[in-house]
Amino acid sequence: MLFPTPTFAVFFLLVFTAYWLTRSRPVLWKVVLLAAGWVFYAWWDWRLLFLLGGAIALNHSIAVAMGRWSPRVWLILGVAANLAVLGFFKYYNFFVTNLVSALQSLGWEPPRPALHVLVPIGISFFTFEAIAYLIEIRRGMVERMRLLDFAVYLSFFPKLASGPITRPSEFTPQMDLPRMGPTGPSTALWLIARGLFKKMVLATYLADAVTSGVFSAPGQYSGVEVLVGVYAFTAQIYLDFSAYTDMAIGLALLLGFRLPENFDRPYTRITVTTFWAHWHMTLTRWLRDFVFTPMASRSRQTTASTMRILFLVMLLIGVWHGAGWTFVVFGVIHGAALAVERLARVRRRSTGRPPVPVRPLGRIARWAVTFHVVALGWVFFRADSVASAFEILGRLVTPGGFERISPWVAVMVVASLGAQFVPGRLTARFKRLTTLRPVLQAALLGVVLLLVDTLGPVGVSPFIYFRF
Amino acid sequence: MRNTTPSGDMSVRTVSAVMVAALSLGALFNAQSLATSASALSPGPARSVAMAVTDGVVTMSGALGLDRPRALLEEMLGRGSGGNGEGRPRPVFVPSPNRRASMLIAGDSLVDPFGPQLARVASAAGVLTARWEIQYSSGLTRPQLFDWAEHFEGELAERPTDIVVFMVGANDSQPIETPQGWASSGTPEWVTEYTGRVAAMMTLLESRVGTVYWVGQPIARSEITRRG
Repeated sequence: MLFPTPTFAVFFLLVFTAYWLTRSRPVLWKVVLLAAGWVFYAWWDWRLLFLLGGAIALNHSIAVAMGRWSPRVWLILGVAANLAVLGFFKYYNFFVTNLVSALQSLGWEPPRPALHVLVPIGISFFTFEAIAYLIEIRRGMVERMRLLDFAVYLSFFPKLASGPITRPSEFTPQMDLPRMGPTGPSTALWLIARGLFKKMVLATYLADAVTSGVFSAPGQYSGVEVLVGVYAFTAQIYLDFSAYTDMAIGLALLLGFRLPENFDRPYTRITVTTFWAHWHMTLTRWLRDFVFTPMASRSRQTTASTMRILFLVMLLIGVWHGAGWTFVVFGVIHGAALAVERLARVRRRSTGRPPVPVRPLGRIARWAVTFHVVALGWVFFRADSVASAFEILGRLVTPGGFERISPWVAVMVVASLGAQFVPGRLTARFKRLTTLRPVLQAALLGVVLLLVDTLGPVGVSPFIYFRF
Repeated sequence: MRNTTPSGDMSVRTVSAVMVAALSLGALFNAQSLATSASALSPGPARSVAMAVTDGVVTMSGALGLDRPRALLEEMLGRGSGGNGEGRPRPVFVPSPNRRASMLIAGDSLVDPFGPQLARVASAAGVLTARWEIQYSSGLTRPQLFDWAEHFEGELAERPTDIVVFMVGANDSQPIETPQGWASSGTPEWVTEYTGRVAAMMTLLESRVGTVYWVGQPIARSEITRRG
């Protein structure tokens, strides 16, 4: 079930009503929330419930075992089991295909694999949440939850398909007494409206008008058009993913839960390191706390070892996104960038200079380099293959002007990216919408729906991050 | 329902009212679009209910004049005559050995000889990766047996596909369920319903893949077979 559909609107209205009607009866209220999550997930394929149910049963059992026997051993077993399930669903096809290709290159003809595994929606997200649960128990950050509470946490539908990856320590306290949210339901409604507009109008327009064509047939576009296509995908992936996050946070707020933020104007950052601190923040936070920090604390803590760990973590981020050499290259680009930045920072510090340039021209240059490193990463992220990515990059030097793409698309791309530079005090003015009378808000939200449906496409294409 | 919003700006009841009002207004503004979406659903009770509801919404929207803002917007966007307002040719997908197109050949039993042959010939060019799927006895009149629309929704979401070759119809000369009841094969009601299902399938496929080929039925030697 996709958020921007009439089916989901009806579903949410029913859930919202049942949710708040049963709020005074905690067990029933949690059952309603759990049922909502399962219906939402089963809407794609009812068989997925076995996977989600299995994850709940497995991790709850391990959490129980951690309280009775050797917690460290059970933690290792639990993390390994979660990663094994994730690995099987996400990487089986990749490894089998590459193994068959390797054997064929040696002159063997192995039988074609009979099994083709489909990646279940949201598996990366809820698996990481389950691992976070086991680690947080081990670290004493949360108590072991009751089975129903844990099932609600893992199945909470606003975040189930694509995050934000929420920690048990920030979710479970809210289960005791969820309210409409500290930022208010009006904010929630406008977050959902903003997400709808970003996904259905802006991201879809960029996909239809430029990125789909440029990435599937770069040979038909001039160099400047391919460049606009690369920039357009850079904007599109932000609009698409942050739109989902806006809607997820808004829906959760309406149910009284505050989910963590996932984006904070990432394209305004002047280093790749700070880009990652503001892009898919819940994933980078997870990897920082559960992979980078433990590894760094066990290492010799030299610049070289830190660079190696940073590189490894970014490689993990690459392959977390998907099984494919394009994602490996994506991880390598970012890993190399982070390692180089680390080295440069250490050297600047050793010569008494500030870690990043302070003069405007220097900062602009650093921003331009950072932006283009990130955009280069997105080329591999979006391309069908590494060869295809190089073909796209090769087209950048092709002469020609705007023939297939309207110059207005370039304006749209610049506006989409430039919006992140708008100062917070100006965007804060839009918050006045939340102070309008409810009748006026309802009318304006109706107009947003008119604009979204008229300017948007026929049907809804899945969010990019649903694949991960 | 409790009005528990200690720090919020609206009560639960007010939020419910705002959501219902906004969605109702949005539905009235976009009534025709909703009706089109309803007609694209797989045949069955859900589609019948959705079509009945959206018919009512379309009527109400017209009576209140709330269909006019959208009509005005579409006119401004130059979509009145079915154009997309861009005025530019849609790029043609050109596969290459480095970037092979993914093709799915799907349909009923007639795909049995046709699909593998087409896949073999197409793959030989070195720019296509073809797969085929045959669902015997399937078609568009009996989604209870096999629902192609639902199947494509899942299949195309899971496996990125550039080209779909679709061939059904051999099993479709049988009564069909319409919102008004069952219609015998060949009657105007049957034709209207079947045409709607074909259009809905095309809309679905075109929204998911770049190129769709709908292969018609072979001309049978026997007149009776040909008429179905």
